[in-house]
Amino acid sequence: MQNKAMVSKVLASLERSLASVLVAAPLLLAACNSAPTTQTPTTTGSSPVSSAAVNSNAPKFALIINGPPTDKSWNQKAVEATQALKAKGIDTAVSESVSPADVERVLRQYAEAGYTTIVAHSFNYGDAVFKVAKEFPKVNFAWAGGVNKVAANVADYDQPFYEGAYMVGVIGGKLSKTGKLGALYGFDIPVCHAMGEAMLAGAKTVRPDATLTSSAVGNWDDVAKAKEAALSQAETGVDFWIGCGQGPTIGQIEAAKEKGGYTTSYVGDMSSLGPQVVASNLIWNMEPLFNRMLDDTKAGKFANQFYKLGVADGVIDVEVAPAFQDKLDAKATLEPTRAKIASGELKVPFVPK
Amino acid sequence: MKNISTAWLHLLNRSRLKPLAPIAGGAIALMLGGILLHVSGANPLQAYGVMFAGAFGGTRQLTETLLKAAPLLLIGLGMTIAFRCRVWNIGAEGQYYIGALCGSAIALTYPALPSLILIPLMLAASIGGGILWSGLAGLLHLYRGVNLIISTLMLNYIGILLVQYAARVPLQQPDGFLPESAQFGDNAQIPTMLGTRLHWGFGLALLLVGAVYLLLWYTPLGFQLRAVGSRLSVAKCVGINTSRSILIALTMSGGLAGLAGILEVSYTYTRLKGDISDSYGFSGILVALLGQLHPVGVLIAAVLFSGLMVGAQSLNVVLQIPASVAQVIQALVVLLVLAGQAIARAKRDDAIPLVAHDG
Repeated sequence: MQNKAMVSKVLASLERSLASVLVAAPLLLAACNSAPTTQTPTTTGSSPVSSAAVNSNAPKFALIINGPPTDKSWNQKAVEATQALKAKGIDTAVSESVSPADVERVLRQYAEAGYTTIVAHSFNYGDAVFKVAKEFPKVNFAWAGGVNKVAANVADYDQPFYEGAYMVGVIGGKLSKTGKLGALYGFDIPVCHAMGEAMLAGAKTVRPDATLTSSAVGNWDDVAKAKEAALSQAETGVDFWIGCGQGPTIGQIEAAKEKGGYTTSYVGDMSSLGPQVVASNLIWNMEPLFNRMLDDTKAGKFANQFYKLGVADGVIDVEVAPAFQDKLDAKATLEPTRAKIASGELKVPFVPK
Repeated sequence: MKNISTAWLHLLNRSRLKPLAPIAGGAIALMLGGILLHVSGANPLQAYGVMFAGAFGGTRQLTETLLKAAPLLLIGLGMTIAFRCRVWNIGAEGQYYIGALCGSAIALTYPALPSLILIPLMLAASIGGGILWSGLAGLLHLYRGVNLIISTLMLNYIGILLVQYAARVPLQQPDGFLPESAQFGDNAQIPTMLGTRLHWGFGLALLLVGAVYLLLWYTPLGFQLRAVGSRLSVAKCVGINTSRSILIALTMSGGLAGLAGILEVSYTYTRLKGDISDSYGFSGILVALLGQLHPVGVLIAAVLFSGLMVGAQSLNVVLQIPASVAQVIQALVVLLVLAGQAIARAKRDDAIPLVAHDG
């Protein structure tokens, strides 16, 4: 008896669910019909379609990022470089906050929409990029591997932050009172490890007695955990930091605000987070990198490329934060080192582990 | 004040419009979202068109939507069993992770086995992992009276951390420096169905829709589970072993969450790492509630929920609307449809009261 009553109630609720779908479908279809141009992606709705889009040979550039475009770091710099391409009339698109679970779909969507150069700006996108690239041999993909893993239509681009870290070390040698430098890494990967070691090498040119304390937080975003790690480094006398990853770097800034000392922005300008403690910004200017990719796409030279663009190409740079302009003569402090690295006279040691 | 609200409810009860409340909720959400889209500089109608086309506008789009619906459906079905028994399992995320861990351990330990043996073993191990992880909470509840909501919730964190540890130490790729395992071989990747991108896990989930329906309404066990869910004391009086029922409902939902975990890792991520879920464990609970704890409703809810996620992302890809706007619209739709359902269900006697077993 009870069973039967239950079944009829369930059927009734099922009918309701179906009814809701039936009612909703025409509404959505109507909305769809009123927008016949939605099948093919266009540039931003608010701006007119650029003239480049008319030319079928023109490059179309898409960027996919893992987080928000306003992180003052890794993602923001990539978005800014894409906006610079757009300002030059290149057809560009950006997808933000794409989780690795969804990136395969987004990659396909761009490939099918005729994008010629698709940059997947996260190490975690690697597996999906290589999978989708096989299905679209004519589309050029690039991923932020930094490990020289490439394919016929997949390029890898390095993150030689260590070159900039050497210049940061010169600043650290001047600012640190104790001569004890600290480095925090999201993970102890080659890109990060080389940053700490290069900073130490740079600092030693100013202060031969400089030492380095480094540790890995085990997370790219955990600010609280990174702050704890930075505070315990401060206890041992560390008063100048470099960070690898947004979380470690912001954690250092927070720790320096509490315990004193100076920090470095990670691949962007984070000085607004701690104007009194962020002494310099390690900058990753990706516009020349993206330009190179587009040129190579056009010339058909994209195959198996491993891009290693650093200080010499204007891709990696260090700038003194506004509040420290008086304390540090940017020109006198950084220019000689920068020129030496750029000319190849000085080869910054790369210590991966 | 009370009078007015009861009069209002009475009117709703009387009117035949009441079942339409969820639809009205969805429509209101879309209208509010439209304002947001307008402020972001997009044409709302065009934007909704893009969302719909992005999720259901073609074979490829539909495939992507169904692919993302698969883990939601599996977890939602499990939650349907648990919630019908009034077992508040909030630990699907942790059970999903542990399931993925157990399945991955098999895939990485026996990489040379043929697909036909390896994949069933992986699926079985993942179900076992989910059962184990939910069973832990169940035993704590039955023998020590620990609140299930709290224990399942806390076990989420332990489960996720355990996977992060496994990906960093015992299962890490030998020559790798990041916390992730080696990539699975082709033989450990769940095959796709008949030339589509849709994997067999989705087919399995569809079969389970029918199986859960039959279980709940056509078997003695299902009757017992629902009896325990509607009145614990009465169920006890008529001689149902309520502890056993609670444990069964809990571990069934855990097993299904674990299964979802290995399917995603095998197909989408192709290796074990620290971050292998798009919050499926929590979205799955929403899907079960949106589907009104009925297997077919859960199927519809999983597809629509997944479509909402895929469509929202399409909004960002095609119209370059900030992802946050798309996410707000997504949340608005879910919230207001659930609110509408609550109105539609008000004063219906088969409504599942949202209180846990006491003790």
